[in-house]
Amino acid sequence: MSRPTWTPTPALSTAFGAIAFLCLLAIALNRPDLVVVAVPIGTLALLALLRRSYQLPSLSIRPGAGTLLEGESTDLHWQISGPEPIDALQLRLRLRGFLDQPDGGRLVATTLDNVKPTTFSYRLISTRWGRGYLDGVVVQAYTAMGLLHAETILPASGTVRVLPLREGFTAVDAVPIAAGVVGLHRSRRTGDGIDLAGIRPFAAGDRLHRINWPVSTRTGTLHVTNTYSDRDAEVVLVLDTSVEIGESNGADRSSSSLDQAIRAAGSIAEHYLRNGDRLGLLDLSRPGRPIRTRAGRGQLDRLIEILLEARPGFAGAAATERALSRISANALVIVLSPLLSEEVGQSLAGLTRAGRTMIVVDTLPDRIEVPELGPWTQLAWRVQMLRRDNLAASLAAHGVPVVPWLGSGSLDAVLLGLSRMAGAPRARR
Amino acid sequence: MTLIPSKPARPRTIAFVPNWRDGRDWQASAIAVRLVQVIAGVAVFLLPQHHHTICDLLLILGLAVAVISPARNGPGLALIGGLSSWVFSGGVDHHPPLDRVLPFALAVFVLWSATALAAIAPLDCIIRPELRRHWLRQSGLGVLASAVLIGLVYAVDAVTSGPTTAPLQFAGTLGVLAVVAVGAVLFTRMSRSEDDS
Repeated sequence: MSRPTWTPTPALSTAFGAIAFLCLLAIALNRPDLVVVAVPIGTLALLALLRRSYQLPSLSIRPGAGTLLEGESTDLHWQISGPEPIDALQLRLRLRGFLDQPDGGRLVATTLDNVKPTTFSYRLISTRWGRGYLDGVVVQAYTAMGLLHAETILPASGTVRVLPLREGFTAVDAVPIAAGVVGLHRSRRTGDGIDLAGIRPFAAGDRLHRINWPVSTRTGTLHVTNTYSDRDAEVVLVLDTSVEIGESNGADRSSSSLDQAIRAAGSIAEHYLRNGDRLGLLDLSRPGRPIRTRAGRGQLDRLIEILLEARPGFAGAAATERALSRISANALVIVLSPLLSEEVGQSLAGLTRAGRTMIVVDTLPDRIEVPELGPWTQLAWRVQMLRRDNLAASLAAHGVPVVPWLGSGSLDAVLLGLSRMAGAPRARR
Repeated sequence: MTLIPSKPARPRTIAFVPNWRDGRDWQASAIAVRLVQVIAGVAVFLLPQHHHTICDLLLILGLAVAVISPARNGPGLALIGGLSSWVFSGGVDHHPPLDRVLPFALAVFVLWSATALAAIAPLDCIIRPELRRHWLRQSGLGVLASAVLIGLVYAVDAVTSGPTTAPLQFAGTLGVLAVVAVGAVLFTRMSRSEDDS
């Protein structure tokens, strides 16, 4: 418990000034009524000063949950205790990041009884993906019925993770390049698997458990069931964070392009990792720190953690091209971009020329709120949209499919097309 | 092979919004305290029998400051205005009836106490029910104790209602001395406890 510096408030000077003024005039003017007027203030002030406290309380705040989804809420529990009663405490909670208290609770006035701790809770809501921090509480303590005042900042820290709202994303089974030895994608090659490829006569080297006995009995010669082998895919998500457009107001309200990209990345990552594929991430604001492709639940947690740290930024064209060139040649590259940066567009075109299989998911939201900063805002925005159309057209000219993010099934048509293209014979130069 | 739906599927809606943020949310409990201040201030304004322009202006100005920014010296101005009106409306040797003095004393006390609470709770601050109960209880105790003292003052006045005002002057002087002495003792204790820490 700390011993603070208590300072008199204007209420104290007002009380003593009024008492002195009234008592002196009562004597000078022979007016007992003036003493009567002074008595209530004087009595309360003196009683309160005699019962004043010297120490500040201790305080703890604890969110009901450490991890929330966007728009989800929990309770923030307060507990105040101390060795002495305090007449009034003004508590100002310092919140940083993407947390809010819609029912109030950032500024609360309460009191502390010395018998039991004061406890209460207010709703804490996550406004958008990212992290929210409880950064301490500014305490204004008032003792002697508000006549003395002390101020301090009590440490009360905590972090709340806000996960991006992931849609139930699904995509077709087809991937352009299936590789590895396990997974859920059907390979073009036959082997151990579930999907039926056909029935053929037994050949040397076939396993006995593959013999199809009904067909063998009917035909009189041994036949085996032939299946397609199951393979996994390597997917790399490229997050274009070079530009963020739009107002980021949370899950149910307007989204920015970065919000859309993060939510899409979370959905796509969850889908492929649940299917046993290997998935990696490259954030173009941090091209030197790519997340290597791995499979499993742990990789999803790792990716979500990295996505929570995403901020708008661009490391430069050279660093971006260097990072993109390190992506495996067999990987399916899914770029999440609002298509507003020409440098990023050029880097992606270069990657396509190098033979990578790539899809660009357009993450510019359908409804965009742009702050109107002057008379030229609308015209500037129209020019920006024309440049964006040009960029999309030039990427299309390089053979890069550009699809808008529409949630589940967004990538189906493009994935089927890319798979057919990958299966077609091609000339090598 | 065509596989490139490269144009956006739906037309985009672009809303241009003014670049300003919402104001703070005022809390009903904090507004209620300000209402109590205003009601008490109006009572302090209306109860004196005669009004003086300067005193009234001081009271109105002080009340406005006390309501808008109670942590400043508005309450002092409001009390000086109200008390001056009361003093000047009677003059020397005036003995107003008890049914006017008591409401005026109560109004002054409520104005002072509500302003002290308002200084703790800005308009966007939630005043918890336990603080409201505590404040009402303590103020009620103060009023009860005052009632006893007021009874004593009037008893002394009744006993000594003769040609001389010496007993009243003696009681008033004692009161001033007591206030100064208690104030000095409390400040000494306060500084000593800070030194200890």
